[in-house]
Amino acid sequence: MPSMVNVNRFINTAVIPIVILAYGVFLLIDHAHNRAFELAVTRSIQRDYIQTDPTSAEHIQNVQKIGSIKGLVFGGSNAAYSLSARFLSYYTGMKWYNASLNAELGNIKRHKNFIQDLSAEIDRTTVRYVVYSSYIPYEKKVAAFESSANRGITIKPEVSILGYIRYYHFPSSDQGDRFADKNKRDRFGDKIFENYCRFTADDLSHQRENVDISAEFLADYAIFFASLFPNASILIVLPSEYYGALSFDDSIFEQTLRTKFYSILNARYFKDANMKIIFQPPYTSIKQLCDEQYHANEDGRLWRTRNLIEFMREAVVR
Amino acid sequence: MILGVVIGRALFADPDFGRLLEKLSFQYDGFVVLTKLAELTDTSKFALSLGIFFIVAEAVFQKCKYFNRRNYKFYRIPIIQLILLIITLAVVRDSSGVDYAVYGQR
Repeated sequence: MPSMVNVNRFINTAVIPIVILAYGVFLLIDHAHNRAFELAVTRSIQRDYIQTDPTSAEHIQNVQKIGSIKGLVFGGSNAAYSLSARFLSYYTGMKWYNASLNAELGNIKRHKNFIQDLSAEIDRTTVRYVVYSSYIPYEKKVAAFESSANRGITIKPEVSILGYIRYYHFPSSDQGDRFADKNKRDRFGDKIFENYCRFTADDLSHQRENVDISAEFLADYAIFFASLFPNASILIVLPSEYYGALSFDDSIFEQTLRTKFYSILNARYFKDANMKIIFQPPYTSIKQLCDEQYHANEDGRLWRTRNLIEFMREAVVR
Repeated sequence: MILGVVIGRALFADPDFGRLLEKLSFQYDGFVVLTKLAELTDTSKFALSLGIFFIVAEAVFQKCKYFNRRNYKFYRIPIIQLILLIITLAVVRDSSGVDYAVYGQR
């Protein structure tokens, strides 16, 4: 059929190239949009972390109420799920507060703004311990965490076309409500578990960031904490994960990261004695997990917190 | 030769060695698989549905003139290719299909 042949030829020679061209234009727009967003975040001097995660405002209000705090826990969701300021307070006999936030607010500058503002609400000189528990060296995403705009243009957009359409038509999605239950904290800043834990271990991974990038990233945070809390021991903690039946030899990664971390600190004239890097062991049972391989449930939280206290006793001599 | 093909197919089924071992252990989860499917992302569910549709369509429409004796060549018709292209470009995003082998997903 000549007409069918013409239609097919038209699709092959005109329509498909136009669609691909239009997609290319969309990629450019998507990239420009992401870059503008990242620049806005980087330049922002406002407290935009409250919009990113309202729990940050809750933390600041809580530390205002508590007043004198001796120990602080910072970090991402691994610390929110898996470390307990209540247990730390009980075992050490000092007041602790868990100021961890999901995904560490997704941006280093934003996270540091939050930490600075929170520290301004307490007497910084009386803080004796700062624990920073970060999952970021266990993902190959440190550079991406710093700025997703640095990734350049790729053949895949940050958000799909359907994602954009859905966002513009239904901007008030129920995402916030769905996660609200998981963000409830008690007066210690600890997560309140309410029967939402359901871990299936079907997507386990074992990733390690480049050791130089990780060491630089962690040393930078350690120095930042030391400048804010002059009398505190700074404990940089690499969290526990669950790998199921698989086992991995991380000894070389850990040894190299430890050596490079301390050598960066020494190069910047910071004493080793007040800054320690701690590697917590993997979870031993699936029954310790909540919803991710690095998110403990209540049992796992108790186990990891006790393990951290043991490391603290060995690491910190005061 | 036959053994080589079998081993080769198994090795190329996944670029992640740990996950490959997990797949080759062939764990049977029974009805738990339904819960696991429900927990997949929307993009994964859509991709899975599309894959199932491709295969089922071959069986259901086997007497249809577009499918008859064409063995998946129906999807090479330009208008169908255009539709598939639009669907793919509409749902693809940075975090999709990051580390899964194309070969293993044929």
